[in-house]
Amino acid sequence: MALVGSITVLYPILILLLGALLSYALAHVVKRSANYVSGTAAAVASVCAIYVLLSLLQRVTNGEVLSVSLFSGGIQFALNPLALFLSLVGTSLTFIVCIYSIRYMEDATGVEKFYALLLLMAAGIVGIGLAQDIFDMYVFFELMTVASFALVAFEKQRWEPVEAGTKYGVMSAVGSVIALFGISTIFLYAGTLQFDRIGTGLSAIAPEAITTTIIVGGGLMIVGFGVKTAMVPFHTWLPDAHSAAPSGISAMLSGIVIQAGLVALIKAIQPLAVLEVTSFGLTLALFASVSMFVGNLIALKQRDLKRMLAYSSIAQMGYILLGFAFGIGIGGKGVALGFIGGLYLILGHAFMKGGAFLCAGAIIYAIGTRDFEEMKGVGRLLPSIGVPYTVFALALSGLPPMVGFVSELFICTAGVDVTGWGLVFVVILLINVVISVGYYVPSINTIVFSKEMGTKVHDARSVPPLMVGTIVLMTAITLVLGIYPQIGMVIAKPAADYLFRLFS
Amino acid sequence: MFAGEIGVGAILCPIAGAILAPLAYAVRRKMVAWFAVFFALMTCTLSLLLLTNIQSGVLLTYNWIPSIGFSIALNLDALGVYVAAVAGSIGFLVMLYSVRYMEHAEIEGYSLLRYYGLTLLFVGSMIGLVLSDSIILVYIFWELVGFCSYALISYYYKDPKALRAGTKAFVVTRIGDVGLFIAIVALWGSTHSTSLAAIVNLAPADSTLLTIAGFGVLLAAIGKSAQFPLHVWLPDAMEAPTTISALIHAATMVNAGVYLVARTYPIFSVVPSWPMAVVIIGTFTALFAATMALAEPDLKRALALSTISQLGIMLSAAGAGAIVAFEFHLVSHAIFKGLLFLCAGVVIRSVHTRNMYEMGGLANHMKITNVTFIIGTLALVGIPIFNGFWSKELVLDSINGAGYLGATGVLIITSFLTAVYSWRMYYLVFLGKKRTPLEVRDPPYEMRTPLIILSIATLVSWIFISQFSSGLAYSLPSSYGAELLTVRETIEIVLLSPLVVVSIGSLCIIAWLAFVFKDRMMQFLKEDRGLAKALKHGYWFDDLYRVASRGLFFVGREVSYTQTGDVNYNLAGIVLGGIVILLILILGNMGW
Repeated sequence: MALVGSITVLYPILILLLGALLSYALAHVVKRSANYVSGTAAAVASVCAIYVLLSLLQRVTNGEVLSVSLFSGGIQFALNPLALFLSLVGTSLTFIVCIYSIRYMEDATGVEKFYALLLLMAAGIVGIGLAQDIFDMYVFFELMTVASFALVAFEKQRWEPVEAGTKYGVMSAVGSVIALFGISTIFLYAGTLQFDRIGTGLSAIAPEAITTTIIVGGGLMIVGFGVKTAMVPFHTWLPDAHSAAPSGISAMLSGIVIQAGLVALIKAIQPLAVLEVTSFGLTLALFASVSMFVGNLIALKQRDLKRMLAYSSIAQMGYILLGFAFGIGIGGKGVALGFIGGLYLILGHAFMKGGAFLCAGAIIYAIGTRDFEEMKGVGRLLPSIGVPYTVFALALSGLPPMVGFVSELFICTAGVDVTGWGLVFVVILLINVVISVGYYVPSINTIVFSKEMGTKVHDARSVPPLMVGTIVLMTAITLVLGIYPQIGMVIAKPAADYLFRLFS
Repeated sequence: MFAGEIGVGAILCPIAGAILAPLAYAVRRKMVAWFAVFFALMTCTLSLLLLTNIQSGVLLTYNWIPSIGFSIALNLDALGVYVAAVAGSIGFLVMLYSVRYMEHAEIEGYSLLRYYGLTLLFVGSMIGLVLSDSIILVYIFWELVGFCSYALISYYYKDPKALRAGTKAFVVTRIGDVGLFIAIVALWGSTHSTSLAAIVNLAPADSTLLTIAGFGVLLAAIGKSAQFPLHVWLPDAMEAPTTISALIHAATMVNAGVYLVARTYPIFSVVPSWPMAVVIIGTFTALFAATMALAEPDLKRALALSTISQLGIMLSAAGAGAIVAFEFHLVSHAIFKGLLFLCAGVVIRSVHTRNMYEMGGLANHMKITNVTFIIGTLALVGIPIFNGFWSKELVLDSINGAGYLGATGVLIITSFLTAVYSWRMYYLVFLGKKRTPLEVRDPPYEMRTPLIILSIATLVSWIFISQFSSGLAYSLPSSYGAELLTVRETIEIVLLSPLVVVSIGSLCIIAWLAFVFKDRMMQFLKEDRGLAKALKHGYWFDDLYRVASRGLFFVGREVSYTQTGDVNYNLAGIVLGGIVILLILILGNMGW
């Protein structure tokens, strides 16, 4: 296995895979307090991965190319700024969820499998960023997806997670097959699947064939990866899956998994978009607008907290997608600020929505329900949930000085600079922000400012410090990223510039 | 550069107080009140110190997001500093008043920490709003004061009315905030700057983006300052503690909208229809709200409608480019309306109702409150020597001078209605038979002192017009058109103008007529049919919006039926989506 290049690129994946193995095995060796043993092992593995990534941050940001190739160039990985961004957000969220789940999953059986699967999912996410050709990216994409099936359906003794997991599995499989059709179309005509070689490969074939290949291949890949990205109308798996999964997994799913799907989509269509045959940017912008409306409108009628948050994720993915569309360009040149906005919202949303789901999990832990009627006033009884949830909900609705506002500011500013109908999409986004206030604020009113206490609130058990601590950490990050955006820019700007260069 | 530090201090001091308040609360719950008063006093001092530090030009630029080029800075010109001084001083007076007014909150199960923390946060954000040069920073503070407003309106959350009112305020003002957001990005698109002072100096020519930005700011002002058609949140916001109504919904936050219009006037005056649109909306709202105030039975709601009306007058002044008159009326109104609300607080606290038809005859029982309320009312009506008289007549004169004759006429009619509804308020509360069985008396000193201070200010604030206007003339660029106006010039303008003679004369006639026909008029306004019913129901605008929001929820429910839960339908959705994508890509290729 001839290895050329720096193996440090592979360390994060290897650490996570090893961690998966260890956290599973250790639980069988120690045989007691499996959740603490497995959870700690998993958390340690994530921290090591984060450490490796941070140590490489300076070099990657300075433009150094870190790559490794195996099997004489058959498989290539590269740690470019985009991969670093995705990996850092993914592993950070994984770490927080590991700590949180130590107490949250304490009553579950087979919890060592939970942490192993979680780390496998994280490895898949990192791999999506690192992969340098479509098929390898697809492999890691599937690794992430299959791990997430099992995680969604983890509480297999209840019908709801199993149904959600099954539906998710079926729809995801259909999406993956469609994506595979698209990939094979590209492979057939371009002769290669490496991102930097597809362009030249396609240019060598007859011009009429190029257009068809790009439209068919690109279209199929958008559909395929779009299922994972929860673009409307491919989103129907999401409300069930994100509601029924254990809350730490909901945080991961909404926080980084669907965004990893988006990154996969963007990476896949990039070689096609630069050939300027049709407007991928406009397509994405249109679907982004539909996603925003569908997500926000359906969220208005939800009576279940996690389901409301799930629909909100669909809408937020619409905002992120719009940012990327501005970066790619709608009928003209794109603006780098669009990528900055989209990436910054990915970063911020991971912590805002992740934090909101962790709060929902804390509520489930305390009183055992997700229903708004039954949880009235729980935030008042347990301010450790009430205050953070208020911050997260307000941040998601775009209130300054939190990260949601800053991201939306970037995206909308990009929309004005982009040639064409950018301002129309900006107005659509802002209308949607106002609609979203219609469910975020009532949710705060119900949880915190409710006169009556819900039926189950009186018997609430207190939330463990491990869970409260992680929630507070997410709150702090949400505030810091909003007040001092330069901190987030450290990883977001290089990734955005990298993407912008690729798409120009 | 000491002035900049004072400005930053005035912003951060109350915010620091808000962050530290939990410590005081943990020591002893009631201590948080005096803790807050202390921080409010420091803030008041700093904001008053700013009055001696007014200067033109931008200070303390901070490169907030270098990667994009967004920077924030402070602007200590008179336009902002006067409002900051108002916020700081009335904030302190309200905080002092609150010590007694809110003393029962804890017993009823409401946390004083929430009240004082949010009020301090509010004062800091308001001062930050008006001292900011960067439009993004203005937006940040704009939203923060909006959040504080929602949280404080919902303070008595056990009353579902309060929660609904707070949410309504938040959502309606958010609609307006979309306008400000669009203005930020549109201005960036046309000038690549976020600094208001820089854009004013740049004096960009009229363009589509500038027009969009201008009307965006107007929309924001309509939302925040409760102008038509987004006026519906302010009367409901009276569910807040009366101290909050005085501070936020009379003296400070609601002024933010009209303030922004005034500040951006030089930028958008080149847009053809913008100044006219501003004046029309302001004038219409002034008349519209005044008519509703005639029939309103709730004391605080009547004062709220009066505030909306007065804000309409201010908006018209700003749209006509009369910056000195605008700012002068803003400050005068903050003083006398704050006074009126605090008096209302005393009354309501004693009689345990807000319905004026259940009050009456209180004049002999609360002499100090009676006198201070009269002073506030006379200022509102615009009787000579009170500050309201001078500021209102200056506004009328300026609007007339700018050529808006129709608007001037409407505003004169509005001032008649103002006289009638103000007198009705006083009559129903303080004169006539005492309709409440409860014992009423004048309030303790913590509540009396702010009343007395504000009354004195109402009597004398106009004397400083010369220093006031010279501050504006000196620190603002000439494009604002602010000029020095001495006391003597003011007296000459106001007393010698035929307009003023006409309006005062007609006012006297109307007042006499109203007095003669008072019984019949009172009866008419009390009815529940015809014109009176329309007035009481606010011309049914509230119902219109309620139907609209129900419609939105209905659409949400209908859309949710696409989420069938049947995987077959879901997969069909994937196929459908795939076809649409291919279609769009093919069409995109054809049009390329």
